[in-house]
Amino acid sequence: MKEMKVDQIPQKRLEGYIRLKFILLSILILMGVAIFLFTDYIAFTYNAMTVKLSGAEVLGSIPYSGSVLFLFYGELMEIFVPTYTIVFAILNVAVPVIYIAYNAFATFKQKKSDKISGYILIGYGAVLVIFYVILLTGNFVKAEDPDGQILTFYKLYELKATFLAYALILVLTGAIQSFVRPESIEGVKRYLFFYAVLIIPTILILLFNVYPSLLQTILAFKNYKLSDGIWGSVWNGLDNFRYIFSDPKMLMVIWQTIYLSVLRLIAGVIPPVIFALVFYHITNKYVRGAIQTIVYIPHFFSWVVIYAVLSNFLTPNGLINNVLVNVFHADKIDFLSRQDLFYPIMIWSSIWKEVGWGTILYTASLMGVDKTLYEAAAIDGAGVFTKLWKITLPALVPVLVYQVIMAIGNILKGAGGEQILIFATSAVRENKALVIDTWLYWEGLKDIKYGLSAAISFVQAVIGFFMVIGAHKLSKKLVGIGAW
Amino acid sequence: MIRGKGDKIFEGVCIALAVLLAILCLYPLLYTFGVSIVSEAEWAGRNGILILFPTHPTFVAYQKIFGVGSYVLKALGVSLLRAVVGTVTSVVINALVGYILSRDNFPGKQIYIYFLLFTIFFSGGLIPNYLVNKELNLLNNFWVMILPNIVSAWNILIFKQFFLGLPKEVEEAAIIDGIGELGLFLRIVLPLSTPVVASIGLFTMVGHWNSWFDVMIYIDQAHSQLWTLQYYIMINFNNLSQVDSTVIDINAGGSVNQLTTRMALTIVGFVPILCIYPFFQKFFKDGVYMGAVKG
Repeated sequence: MKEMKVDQIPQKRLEGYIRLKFILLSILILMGVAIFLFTDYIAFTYNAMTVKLSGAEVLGSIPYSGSVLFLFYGELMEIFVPTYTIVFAILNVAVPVIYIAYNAFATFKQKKSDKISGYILIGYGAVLVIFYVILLTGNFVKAEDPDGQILTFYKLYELKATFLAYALILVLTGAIQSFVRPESIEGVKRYLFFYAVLIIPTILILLFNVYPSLLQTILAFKNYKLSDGIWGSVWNGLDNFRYIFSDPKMLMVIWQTIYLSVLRLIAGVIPPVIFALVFYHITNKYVRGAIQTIVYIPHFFSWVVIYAVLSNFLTPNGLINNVLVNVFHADKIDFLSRQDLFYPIMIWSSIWKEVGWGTILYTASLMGVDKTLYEAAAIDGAGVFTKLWKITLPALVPVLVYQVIMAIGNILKGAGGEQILIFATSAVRENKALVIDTWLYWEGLKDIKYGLSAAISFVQAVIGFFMVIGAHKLSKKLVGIGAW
Repeated sequence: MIRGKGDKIFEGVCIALAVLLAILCLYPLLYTFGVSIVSEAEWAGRNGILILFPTHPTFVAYQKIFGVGSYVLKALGVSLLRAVVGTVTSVVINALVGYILSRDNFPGKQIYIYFLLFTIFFSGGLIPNYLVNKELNLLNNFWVMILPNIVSAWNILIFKQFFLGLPKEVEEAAIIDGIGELGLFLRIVLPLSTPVVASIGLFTMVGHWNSWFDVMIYIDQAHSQLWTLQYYIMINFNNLSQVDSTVIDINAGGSVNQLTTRMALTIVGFVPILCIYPFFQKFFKDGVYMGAVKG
């Protein structure tokens, strides 16, 4: 009796929707097949040569029992594609064809939309994803190299991401087949354009967000070697993490990250609060507006520009040194190369850049203070500081608590790597300037320590995730302001 | 409001402090301009002690950096192109997605919001991003500066929040008049949303203008025609990526010294921001940005 609801739509229109659904899903799944057949399915890497094979090429090797010939620097070479990749290639074409044939029958003969074939597609898609992971990670899956030696599959072959994309298209098709009733097309039709628009951001997020996260998670558990590639590198369990949390240099990097984050938190809260109060007590709104307009400006400058402006004053031939030498006849101080001055210079310059802009958040909170409170307090004989302490400051507490809690949630990312990269001279590069973000650039990227880098980014992301969720909950509970 | 003597003195102190801060913010910028127009002779004559502006300004440094075959001009062009293309693509897409997610009867809305929240928490670090861009053949490509920066979950959520706050009556009236969803967005919602579009547009544009890190990572010296201005300034001050020094040799002998050309370069690096700033500042002063901060 499930079909009862359908009665509301005339049979003719319903059949139209069933046909439309069939046609759209067929197009979708054929697109998936096309991706599989005509883009790279597996890549074979051996010594310096890489051979990329599309699904069609793998299928084409079947008559020759899996042998593929190719030219390598003018020399004819031969590899044998492993049997299981051939089996998948056959199934990857056969399953959609059977699916379309069966649903054509269901649509045009039985005049209904079938659910079971959708479940089967979801199941097969899931199997593909599982095998994708197993083939790329399992030590027990073997393959043969051109010299006849047996090696782990992932050391010779790489399954391309298009294989994963194909599997996801299958799952998507199956999900729509099983769970979207033809009559809901009527509701979706109004928003058809919207769904089309969402395709663009979805692809961008998958490419530039989800896929890198996936790679990072895999790399974090591998001993990456450039010659072996991501997939060919050996798994090393938790070794990367063990190294990070035991190597003295890495511990120093983590410690300095936390230390600088805390310094920045203090520098990012106290001066803006003070100046928000200062601006709040200026009654002439033109004076206040003019000053606010000016102090917001540095926020919009890049660290490059700030460094350039600052170097005018701090370099050996900068203003301060010129005054020191020529007026006071003192010695030059190379401020930017002094280890002990590195943190103070960074923190003070970031205060200079952000103090004005920082006030905006607190100024907004102060807008909400009831002015009559001050009058009542004045009648009761309260002085300037009593009013400040009892009325003005309490109004700032919620947003202050929120700021501090969120900053603590971001403690492994808040060291300001971008500023350090620019400000660091060779004198501090090996010591004071090392925080996670700069280490990633100076050592992770330059010295190709990809496994370690991914592991430390992974720690950053995971700790950040739980801390921010926790901070959000805590902040909601304490002051009623959440991060989203 | 009742104001005692104490209040007046306190306000005086506050004005003094605020003016001091404003001077502290402005002085280094004016001084930078001063150094950029000082001549070698005057600089030497004053022993390098210049308080604000030189008495005999010269614009030789600017002629030098904009001279024939100038890297600066090329970099300026790339920066402008990047800022415009990056801002337009990003604002258009994020505003549309924000609008879609603000329709309360849109099927699948909640799932997509979770999908966006995922991107806030999990993004690949430096190295996975590098590998992905490499795999997509985006290294040394203009689009590496645009594509990864288009979708911003925060901006989408800000747009969504703003659209939700618009008066429902107007929309309902328009729907009764038979306007489509897209027409509703373009003709009714967008015109009411200038503040949020302007604020987010400004921040996106400034972000693109100020970017140099991705240029350093993804674009090598052989493709220096894709360098942005900020990156070019950066390597002039701190040759982080060990760029061949002939490329950055804009140092002039004679009439102006190296410091002066560098400061002229710096001025070129921030004046465009100062130029657009007045047009946008009224929007975030009205507190639109507050919604942004609180999400």
